[in-house]
Amino acid sequence: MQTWDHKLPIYQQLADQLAARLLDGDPAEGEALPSVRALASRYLINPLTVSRALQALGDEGLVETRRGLGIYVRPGARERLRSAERERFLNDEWPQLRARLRRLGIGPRQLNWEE
Amino acid sequence: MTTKRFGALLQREWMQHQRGWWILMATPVVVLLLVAIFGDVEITLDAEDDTSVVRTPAAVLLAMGSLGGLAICNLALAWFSSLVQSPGLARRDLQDRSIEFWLSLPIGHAQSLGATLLTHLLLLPWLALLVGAAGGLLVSLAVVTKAWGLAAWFTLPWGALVAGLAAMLLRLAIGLVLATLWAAPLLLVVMAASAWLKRWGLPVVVAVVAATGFVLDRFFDWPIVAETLEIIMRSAGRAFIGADRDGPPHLAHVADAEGATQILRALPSWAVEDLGQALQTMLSPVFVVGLAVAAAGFALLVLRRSRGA
Amino acid sequence: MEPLIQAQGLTLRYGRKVAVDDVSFTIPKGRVVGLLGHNGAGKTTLMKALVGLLPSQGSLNVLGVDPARDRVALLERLAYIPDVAILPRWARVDELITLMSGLHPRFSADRARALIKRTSVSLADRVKSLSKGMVVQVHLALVAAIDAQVMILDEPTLGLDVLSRKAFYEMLIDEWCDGERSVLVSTHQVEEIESLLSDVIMLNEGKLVLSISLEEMDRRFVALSHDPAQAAAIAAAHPLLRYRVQGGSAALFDGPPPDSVQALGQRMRPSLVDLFVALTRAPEMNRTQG
Repeated sequence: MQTWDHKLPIYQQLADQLAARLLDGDPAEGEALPSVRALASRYLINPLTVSRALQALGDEGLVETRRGLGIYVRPGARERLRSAERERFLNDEWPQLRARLRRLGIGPRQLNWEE
Repeated sequence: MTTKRFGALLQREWMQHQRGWWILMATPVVVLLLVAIFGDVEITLDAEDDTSVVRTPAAVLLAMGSLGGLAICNLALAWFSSLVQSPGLARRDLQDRSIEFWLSLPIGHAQSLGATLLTHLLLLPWLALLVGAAGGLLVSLAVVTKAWGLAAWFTLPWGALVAGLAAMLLRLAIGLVLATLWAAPLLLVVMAASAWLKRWGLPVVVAVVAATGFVLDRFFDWPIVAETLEIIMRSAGRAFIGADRDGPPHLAHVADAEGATQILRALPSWAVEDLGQALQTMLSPVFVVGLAVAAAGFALLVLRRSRGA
Repeated sequence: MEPLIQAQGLTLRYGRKVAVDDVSFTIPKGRVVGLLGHNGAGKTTLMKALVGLLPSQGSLNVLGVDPARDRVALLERLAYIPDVAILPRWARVDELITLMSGLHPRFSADRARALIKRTSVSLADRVKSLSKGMVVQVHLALVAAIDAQVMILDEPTLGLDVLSRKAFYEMLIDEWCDGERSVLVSTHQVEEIESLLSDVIMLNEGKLVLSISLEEMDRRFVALSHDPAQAAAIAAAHPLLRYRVQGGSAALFDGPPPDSVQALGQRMRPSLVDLFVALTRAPEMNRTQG
């Protein structure tokens, strides 16, 4: 069974997981996400929490609700996600990684970029 | 509460107890069948001159004995078995805690208890009665054939036998209800005590009744307890059969076919009279008060069940 | 919208002992409510009162009726599993299905058979020959075959292995989370069930300690993970609970601690288990309501 970590609220963790899948194109832009109940069943989460997660994705402009039809991935969502991830990496993760590389004495030439 | 639900309650009783019941009902039949096949039936009669004569009874007498005897035997066995088990019945489902399962279903307490009592005290004995009669038929075949040959069985006065048997069965079936009503106060008080006090129920009731009787008798010269108990037991027995003070037509001095057939033909009308007498006995204060006590006992059972056991 | 269950000032006694003391809560439709409490906290007593098996003081309304007065009518629309496997041991599984079809107007025999087929139990098995876990599975299948509006389950997963528990959680979501029904479930497996809950009610020694939605809980309670070195500063802000997490210490606050304290650590989500421990082991009652 899926265990949810202690850092973020569960709905946020689900939102992040769904966002990660969006980034991989699942589902593609313009397509519908699985229903709330389907997601609840898949992840074993209360449907109300699933709704909160979808709400969070909606707040970030990644998905939109089409009355009577479901929740659809907005066009441009992937790009938006990618740039958000890029921002996060460049602002948070990269400085830490760079500091570590410096500590280990690894310069750009030792990094194998081609792989 | 619908009939369907009550029917399911009855079905539950059958499902839970049918194995024991079949054994209870079949055993007398099997035993008597074996006795019939391997034994001999003779009766000792007192002749007019104070000597004893041993004779093989007439075929019709043998048939009457088998049919009636087994029917009564089965009925009594089943009824007494239920009576004896009734304290346990009040505490059934407690040990495996399945009472909590039954309590989680939409069934009323009174209906639940009523179904149990109805099945064990009336439906089972009635069934036993029929099984006994059917078994009696088989035994009569064995007994009559053994004593007088197969032809004798076929030439039995079946018209009169069937009529007589039917009358007796009906009398006994109704008598069962009346006897149960007579015994109801004792039965339900013991059951209620068992439900509330568990293993101490029966001993406590016996002790209280005995003590009360003793005190009232010794210190107030009022032996009401013993008298009441005696009335109840006598009336219950008579309610079954033999309420007529004159008793059933005497079979004791009859060994021949003629006399036996005469009695047989008189049975239906005698049964009706007997029933009338039994019903009349019910118009007594002991009976009415007894019913009130029985109702109180039932109410206590319902109360206990509503508290979770 | 009428709530499915409404309790106001509910007090329940066992003889002279007060098992549940002045408890008030509401359960609307479409919720999965976890009832948490230590053994003897009053969970089972509360559930018994909700299904009409105990007389109660105060006001109690379940599906529009007083449970004690209209028990039979209530049980037609409320399914109740009282504690561990209590199925009659003499019965066969198919006999139980037959009986329930006759006794319960909203029971579907086909549904029950389909659910039991998914387990390793066969219809011809007698209850007394089944292992405890299998009996629980049968009982859950029977109850899941009832079309009820409220489900009250007292530790339904006791004795079940992980796979069976998972199957139960799946069934709970698939069958009972349609927005119209509500489930009240008590369990000791708090961590496992947390993601399935929408609300939680915590009892401690008969008193209501918390009645809150998980959404509200996320907002109201603040958990801070911090360096052990900051312990004194954190403690000065009077957290509900201090405990250890992987790689450090943590503290749980009711309401946001002052910014200076928050800066000392990193905000985490308040886990239900930690909150439960925090609220039910303090010697003086931390009585709060959501």
